Amino acid sequence: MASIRMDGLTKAYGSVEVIHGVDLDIEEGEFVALVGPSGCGKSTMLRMIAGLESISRGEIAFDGAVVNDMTPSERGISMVFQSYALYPHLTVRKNLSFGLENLRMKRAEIDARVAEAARMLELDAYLDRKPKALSGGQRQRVAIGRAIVRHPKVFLFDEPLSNLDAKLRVQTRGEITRLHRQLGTTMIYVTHDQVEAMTMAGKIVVLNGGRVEQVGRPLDLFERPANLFVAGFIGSPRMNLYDGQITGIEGGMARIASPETGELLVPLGDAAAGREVKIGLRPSHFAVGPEAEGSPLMLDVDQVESLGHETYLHGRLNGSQGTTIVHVQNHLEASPGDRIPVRPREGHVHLFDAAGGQSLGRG
Amino acid sequence: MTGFLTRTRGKTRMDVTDILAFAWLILGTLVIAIPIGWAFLSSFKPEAEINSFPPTLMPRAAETLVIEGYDDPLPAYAWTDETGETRTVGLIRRIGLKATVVDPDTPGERLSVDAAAIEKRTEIRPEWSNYTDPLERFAFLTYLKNSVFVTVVATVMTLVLNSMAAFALSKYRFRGSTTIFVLMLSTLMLPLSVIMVPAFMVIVGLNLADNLWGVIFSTVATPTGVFLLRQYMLTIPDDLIEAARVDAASEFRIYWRIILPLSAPALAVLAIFSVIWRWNDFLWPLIVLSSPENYTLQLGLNAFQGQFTVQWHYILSMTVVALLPVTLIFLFLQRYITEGVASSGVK
Repeated sequence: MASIRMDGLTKAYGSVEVIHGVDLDIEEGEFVALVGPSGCGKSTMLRMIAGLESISRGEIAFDGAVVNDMTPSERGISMVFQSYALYPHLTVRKNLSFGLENLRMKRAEIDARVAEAARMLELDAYLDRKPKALSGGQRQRVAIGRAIVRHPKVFLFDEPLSNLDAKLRVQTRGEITRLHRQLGTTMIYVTHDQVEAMTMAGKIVVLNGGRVEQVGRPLDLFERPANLFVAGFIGSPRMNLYDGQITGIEGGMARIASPETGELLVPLGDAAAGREVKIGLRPSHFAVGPEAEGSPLMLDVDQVESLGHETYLHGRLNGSQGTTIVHVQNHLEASPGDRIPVRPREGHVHLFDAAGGQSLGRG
Repeated sequence: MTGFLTRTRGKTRMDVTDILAFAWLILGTLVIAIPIGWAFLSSFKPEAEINSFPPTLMPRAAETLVIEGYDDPLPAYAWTDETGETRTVGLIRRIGLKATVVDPDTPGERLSVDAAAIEKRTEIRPEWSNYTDPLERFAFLTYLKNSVFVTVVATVMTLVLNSMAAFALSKYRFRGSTTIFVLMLSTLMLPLSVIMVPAFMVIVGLNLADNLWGVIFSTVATPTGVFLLRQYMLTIPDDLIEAARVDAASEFRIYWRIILPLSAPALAVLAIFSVIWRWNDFLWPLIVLSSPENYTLQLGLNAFQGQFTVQWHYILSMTVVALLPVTLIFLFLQRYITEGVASSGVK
């Protein structure tokens, strides 16, 4: 187990900088997800932590000791690759023991550790098979097993679930979180899938264009996104965003006007009238139907997706052009062409600066 | 096998492309196989038979008869007498149009017959002495030993050296790697005849003239081998190497435990090529080696070819012997050759 500190971490390929001075603290035993769209630098960052990619500027320290110039094995990390990177010519047993043999560990110790990992991941029956003879999920477990046997200080996962089918992905997600609880090792998990990040991590780092957009607990990111990027990235379906303008301040409340949402009152202390803003409303933060009776906001329904226990309405608010998605618990009887009254739930209206994108508050 | 051989492009009937393809394949097979088949059959012929005209296909030797009263066996002839009856007789001598023969049934009686009425009787009989004589008289085992030594050592060194170069060129990014690779490939365009003299001077300078190591050292680094292995290694995912680095493997261990086993098909191809090249090599050993005890098999074969006479029967028989190891290797490893050539994308 180790705590990790990153200080002004920068990566440049020639004159092209891809990671721009990231500062990040990861505590001992934490499960951190690095999440962001493809090309945001999350994998590069993970590889820098692993020691597979050189550090252009800044430093990485494990437990306070700078590891910039250490090899991956000296850092005591192990990594699960997106492609699993199992050695195709070696049996599962050899795949698991290869790293231990390299450390010149005693045979008995190697066998014990391989047996332990195999038991933990239910790989006992496959130890003498080659990776080619395994299913995707089994290969994934071997890759995790190879990381476990070395008893690393830090576990690194590089999009480990992207090659699995949906059902297996959910199952493996559970297995990895269980593993984290069991081992208590610091884990860093890279993914582009915000659902994985939300469900597994204790802390999420949202990256965009080589910069950290926000760091926080999953729910914090969902409820209080620091800026438009995080607001749009976290949550599925994504947050509905509308252009608006602050038309006046009344007793600590800002009056905001928008063609889509009409007039809204949001508690906003220091806003100036006339400011251009973006209004963010999550699909699930609408009251719909009887609950919204009397609301001046009407949704022109274009499409209804009913999953039985929940319903998604795609439509346009107040006859505007942009699509608005509304999420309703349980089944809602509606059909395209309907006009349904909706109302944003109080306390769930997000406001962002239209120019800079940073959050102005919520109300 | 039959299913494969009779596979057609059309659903059931022979297509015109099938006919063309089979014609081409059969022609190619014949072009390659006929000389080898001829050499093999001829290697069993007595010396005179090889040069006889019209050429014969099978190794034939004159039949002989052992007849009472004659010390040596007499060549057997078929004699058709005036009545049209054919008898086997032994020829004593032939002078002009007349021949003196003896019937084995009546050994005391000499018959004078028309030379046109008798015909030589031959039988299919391999001339084993073509094989046994050179093995006894000619230092075949020494040559064989030298050839095996050169082939095995040079092949092992070729594999090790070329795979190391290929590993570096395919998996490490360093300044000038492309330049080095291009330079290496460009040496492919230099034929041996161009570099023969300087290479020989280097060998002399290293005191390796007339030494088998002189033959070996100058042939182990082959641009073809580096190219073949590099192209193959490029297909090995970098993730494996990184996983091995995370697994605390040293760079040499990555090469030895990961890269080499995964390159096995390409290594097999190169091994086969190398064995064939080194085994069949003639010009370079001829330049480097001067004393007969250092000769390789191919140089030894050359000894049968004098300034005035060529002992074809020995050359052919020893050629067949020299072909055997390469043929066997090819038979056993041909699967790897086709696989390796297909997967390394090199033709």
